[in-house]
Amino acid sequence: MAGAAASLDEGLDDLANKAKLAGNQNSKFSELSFEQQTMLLKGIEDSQFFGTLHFLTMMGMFCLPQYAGNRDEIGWDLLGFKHQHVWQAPFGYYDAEVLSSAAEQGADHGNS
Amino acid sequence: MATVNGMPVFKTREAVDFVIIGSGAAGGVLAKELSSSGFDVVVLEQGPYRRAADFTHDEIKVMFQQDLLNHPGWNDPQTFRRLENETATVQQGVPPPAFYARGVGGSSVHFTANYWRFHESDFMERSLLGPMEGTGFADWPISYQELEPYYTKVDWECGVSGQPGPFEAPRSRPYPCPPLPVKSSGVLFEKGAKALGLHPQPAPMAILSKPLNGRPACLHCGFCMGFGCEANAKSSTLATMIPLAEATGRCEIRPLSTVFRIETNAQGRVTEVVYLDADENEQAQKAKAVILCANGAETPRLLFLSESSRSPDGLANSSGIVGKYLMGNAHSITQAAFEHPLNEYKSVQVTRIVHDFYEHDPARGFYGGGGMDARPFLDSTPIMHALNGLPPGKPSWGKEFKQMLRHYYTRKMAVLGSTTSVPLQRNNITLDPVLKDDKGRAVIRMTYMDHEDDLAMATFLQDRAVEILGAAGAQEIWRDPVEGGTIQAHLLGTCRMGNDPTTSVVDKHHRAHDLANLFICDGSSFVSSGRGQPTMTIQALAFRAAEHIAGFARRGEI
Repeated sequence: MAGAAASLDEGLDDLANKAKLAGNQNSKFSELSFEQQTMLLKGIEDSQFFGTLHFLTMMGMFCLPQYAGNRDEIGWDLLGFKHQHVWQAPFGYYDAEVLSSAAEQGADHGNS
Repeated sequence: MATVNGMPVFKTREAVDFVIIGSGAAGGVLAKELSSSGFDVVVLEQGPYRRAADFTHDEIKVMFQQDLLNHPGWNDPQTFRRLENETATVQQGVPPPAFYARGVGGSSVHFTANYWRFHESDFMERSLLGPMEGTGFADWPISYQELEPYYTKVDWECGVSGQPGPFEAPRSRPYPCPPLPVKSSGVLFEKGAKALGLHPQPAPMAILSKPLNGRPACLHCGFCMGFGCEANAKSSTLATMIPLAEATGRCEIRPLSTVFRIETNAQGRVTEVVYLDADENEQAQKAKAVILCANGAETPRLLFLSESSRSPDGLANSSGIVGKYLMGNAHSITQAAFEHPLNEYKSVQVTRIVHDFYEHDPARGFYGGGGMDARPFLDSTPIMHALNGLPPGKPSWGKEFKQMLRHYYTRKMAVLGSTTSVPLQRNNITLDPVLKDDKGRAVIRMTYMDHEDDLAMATFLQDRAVEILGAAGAQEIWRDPVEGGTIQAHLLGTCRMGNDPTTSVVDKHHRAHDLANLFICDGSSFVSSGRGQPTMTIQALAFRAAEHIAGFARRGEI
């Protein structure tokens, strides 16, 4: 983990330097345009730094909010995941279809 | 015997009737059965004693930090190699090769809970099909008929939900609980399979669809495979057997107790079990008999660690086959995306299965059989989906990636194919010759490469899965590569059962051929692998073993 932290620090410094070169003088990565940011990241996407950052970003984006990531469940909203401890059928579109057609058939046959 | 909070506390220097090593699928059953029969039982479990309220939906803790898998006290790694001429290494960044949970209830706590009975043929394929040169292909010394009453005990005492399918072996009682409600993956799998003339059926699951034995029905929270059940609806031995064992007042569960050795005397009898307790103090519990239920990797490890001048190749190993014939079941995974949301993150993993390809068919051109099921598989939880959930070739970051994460998360399902494993001596558990754990114990070394027939069967099932998902109307279908397994959750065959002491480790009553008061009962007892869902059979064996062992004890035959 110490190695990963060192690689993160170095990677962030490197990214800051690249951002200065890419944008106007002394620009930060966050101040670059979407296209500039994308191009810069494409240039480093095979690096260990990017791999670590990617992994940590996924963790932070989709973890339980108690870890202080996924604020207001923004990551889960992106996926369409709802965190509940209790669910009831139907769970999805296709089992709902079966349930409703079974209910209709039941009604047709006068089942109580 | 003293008691603390109403629980018995046995003295280590007085021999108890039984020490059971391991509290999982088998150990939990044996603890309950033997204590209920009036015997004093001490259960040694290396993991902690978690309760339902301790289980979480925390992916980081459970899926990435391996909270349920790790040794609670110290680092205990494992090494892996495919073939015996390679040097085994610790695989970085992935779970250990022998994938099992530590804690009271063992791997029954985190399992997916597919509870398929074996078929009659599983016990006698060598007789039905003839020999396979260079393999350990053999019949079991027991039949399905002998085991059937104990499968029924598992159904009713542990709790299984299901409905008999067209290929199932005869059963003496119906399932105690009806099938769990079908999910969209089950509906689609059933639709596709029926269109192809197959016979899909509700999945037998060790998860309650209605209250049973004082336990509640499943809440469908979705955190099931790999997680512990917070509702006690999953039929782990933690939820089912252990409370009954403790209620007898004759069973002491000792968590955080890691066994180092089983000691024997000059008369060739087991005398005591040496372990480190929760405070890492060495203890030795005397016992009239020991039952080893530590799983198909830890059980042979412990026998090797218990070597002595009387048994230099390891305890109970005069045959030389302790640790050999490891079988893990080969698998294939086929994924698909559909037009509308399935929301597979809800409820249990599996609601429909196909057993049309269970039996061996010579027309396929290779040995084997298998079963298929529909499920979300590993990507049902958010982080796992974000890291692994998209089809191959899709971006892994950026705007398009985010859109795809959303598209696939709710629309995706998988079909898992599980197959036979040919028993081979080259697939085995041994002690690593170099690496030790933090306490100086040699670690587990797994050597494993699936037989070519097992991989052929897995590919065959994947071809069928593609057809089924296509017939179900999938918009996209993709195949995970079929390759030799490097992580095994099914640890089978390493102390196989048999009538011949030169080719097996335990007899048909699970007694070690070499030691009259040592019994071994867990996945290691298997002679063949079944079709990929072994725990139902592990528990049936444990119920049967308990009845025989209790009889031996009563008659003074131990």
